[in-house]
Amino acid sequence: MLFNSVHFLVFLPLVLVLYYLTKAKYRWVFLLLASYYFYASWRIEYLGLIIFSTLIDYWCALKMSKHGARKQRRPFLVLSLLSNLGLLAFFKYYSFANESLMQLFSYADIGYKYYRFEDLLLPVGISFYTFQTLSYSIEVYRGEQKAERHLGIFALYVSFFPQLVAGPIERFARLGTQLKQQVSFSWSNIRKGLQLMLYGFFAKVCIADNFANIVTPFFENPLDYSAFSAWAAALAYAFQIYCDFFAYSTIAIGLARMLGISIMDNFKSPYFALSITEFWRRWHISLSTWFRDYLYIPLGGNKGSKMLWIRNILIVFLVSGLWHGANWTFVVWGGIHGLIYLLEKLYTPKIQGPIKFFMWLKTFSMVVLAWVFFRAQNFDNASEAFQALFGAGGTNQVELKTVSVLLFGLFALSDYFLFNQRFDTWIDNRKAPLRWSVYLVLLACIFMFGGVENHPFIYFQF
Amino acid sequence: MKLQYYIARFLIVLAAFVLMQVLYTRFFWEEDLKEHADILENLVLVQDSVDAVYFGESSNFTIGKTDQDARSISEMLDDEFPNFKIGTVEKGAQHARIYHSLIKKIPASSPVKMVIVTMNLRSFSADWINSELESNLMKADLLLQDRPELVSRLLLTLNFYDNKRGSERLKDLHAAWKKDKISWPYEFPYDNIYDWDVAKGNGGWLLEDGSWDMPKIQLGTQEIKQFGFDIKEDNPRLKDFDAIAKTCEERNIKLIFNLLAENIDAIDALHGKDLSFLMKRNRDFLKARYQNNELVLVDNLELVREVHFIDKDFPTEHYDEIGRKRIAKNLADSLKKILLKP
Repeated sequence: MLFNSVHFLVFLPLVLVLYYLTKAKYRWVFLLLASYYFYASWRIEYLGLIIFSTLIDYWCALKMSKHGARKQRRPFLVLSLLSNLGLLAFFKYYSFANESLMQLFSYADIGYKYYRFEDLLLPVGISFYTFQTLSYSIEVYRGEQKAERHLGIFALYVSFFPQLVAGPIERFARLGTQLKQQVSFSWSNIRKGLQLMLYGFFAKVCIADNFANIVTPFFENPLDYSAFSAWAAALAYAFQIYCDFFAYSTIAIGLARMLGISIMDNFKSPYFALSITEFWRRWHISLSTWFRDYLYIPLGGNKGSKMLWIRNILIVFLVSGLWHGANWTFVVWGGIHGLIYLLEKLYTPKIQGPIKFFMWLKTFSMVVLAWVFFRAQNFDNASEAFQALFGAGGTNQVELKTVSVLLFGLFALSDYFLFNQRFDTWIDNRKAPLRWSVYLVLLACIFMFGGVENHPFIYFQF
Repeated sequence: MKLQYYIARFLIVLAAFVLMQVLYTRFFWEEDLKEHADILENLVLVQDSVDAVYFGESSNFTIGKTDQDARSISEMLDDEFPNFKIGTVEKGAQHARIYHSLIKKIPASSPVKMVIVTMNLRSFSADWINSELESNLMKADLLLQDRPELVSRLLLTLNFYDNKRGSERLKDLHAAWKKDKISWPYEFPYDNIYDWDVAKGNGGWLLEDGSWDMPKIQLGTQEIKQFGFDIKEDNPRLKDFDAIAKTCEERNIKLIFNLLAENIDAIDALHGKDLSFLMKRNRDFLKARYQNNELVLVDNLELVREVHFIDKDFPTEHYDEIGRKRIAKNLADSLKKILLKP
């Protein structure tokens, strides 16, 4: 079920009404059923994977909580890691790994065959919920989180529908605890939730979906397009992916808010960052912090020699790239970010006065160019896109509609002004006439200018 | 006091929506129609000036390279009736659901007394029903429905139409090919398209030296996919044609279904009489359903010989000048009988 679908617009009010009509004590049951229904509406058979992941981690955590020493806890952590990463490896990386091996062996003229599973579709959101539940197992292992004894609450933590499919990746300490609390109805929560959803829908259907119509034709045949069009398409993709993912997170936060639950921010105007370091503090925050806490620090972080630190940084960025997709282009994308991050840390002067603009320009350009690898189907496609960007393409022009450009201007302005605050906080502090004018402008844009092609949220595929 | 506040707020929102509807209809609706449902423009152009409307797809307007007469079937037909004006509403790859939505759009004040609706046997096949073209057709259909334009536009944004992605459609198609059973009155090795296609696709036609005859395999398997089925009651296209018949009856518009000619000669050359047996049986099924006192189904199925089909490597209903003339003539003969009726 997509957030931007009629199915969801029927599902949501029903869930809200029934949720608040249910006795507070039993609301978790209702929310769990709603979450499972939400997920099963894609493919019912994949619901089994979430339930499997839930049961394994619930049991492992309980077992870990019975042992004081880390050594005794370790087998259960390993079981949890193997189960979750095993699911991810099988569904997401099986074909990729085998294809890569086949390619590798072919260089040495060695035949390599593997069993191809027909109709094996990537379960929606598997990268997100496996990482979420892994964070719980690791924290229980470390003794930083008590094992949850209530199976229903834990199952709800794993499958909480607003953020199930594309995050933010929440920790149990924050989300699980709230799910146990008894929430009372509040108009303020509903209002703030609706404000966030409105802004999220605007970003998704007016910016991301319209820009997809510029990006898709370009990446099908990059060499047909002029340099101007190539840059327009590269910029359009930068904003397509940002608005798409930002929209999902914003809608998720709004939905949770309507249910009386607060979930973390995932974006803070990342394209206004002055460095790649800052970019990663503002982009997909829940994933960056996940990698920091569960990969970078266990690898040793910045403790140790400079070479070790460099190794740790590169591992984190490369794994982050691979997490996004089963393709070497994603690994290259992660590697580029890792290298720029290292260069910045090692050589960047302190940011002052007029340098700021150039720092921003450098960061933004790097991010936009790196996205080319992220979007390209393969290296040949990326190479063609780069050739077009630097003038070796044809004369075709992408179709830039005035309305799309104006809508983009509106979003870019709002993103600039919001910077470190959320839309609901900003709008709540405005006077009624302005507040209502903003609501109506956003609604009018959604009604009149939303994209009309079927573009599911990009991060669903991760 | 609080109630008044809420009523005032509600009225402001309502007024804003009315304003949005006016602005949208005035400045943006036409453009969206042009982009997603341009066939409606065809109808608007003719609906107030013709006695009959011919709803067609590429079979109507595709012409051969050497044709001297480039007129479409409907134009040839129109020329036969100087005192009965026939207008054309056409676009490639359309089907009955779109025709139905368009017929509903003909205003009550229109002089249109008759509609001629193209009936393409291929449009009943799983291949067409699960085709990727369907998304665009359903998008057009959504905009053609009677509701406030602003609401239609929002529903388009929310993808409130059959908007499956290519991979999902392919999966459904393969499932349909396996599931839809063909009942044979005699012994035949395959009872579904999937098995039949696989068998013929793997060396079903051979060259003299024993190697695979690829052109024949490609054409032959396409013919199986396009025509190797029985039309059953749950076929969505059948529901669309039923709906057309019902709407025309309600609106007192005379309805003629024009069943297109297929390349039976080429099909028999590759499949013997087996595949054309299914096609004729489906034709008979449609005739039994749609030929009665109120309805006319003009049967062109076997009317055009192979030489008059333009495409040789894929089954289509594209005819050269002579092919189009034969269909126009057959249709005109039926029309004359209707028009001469007191």
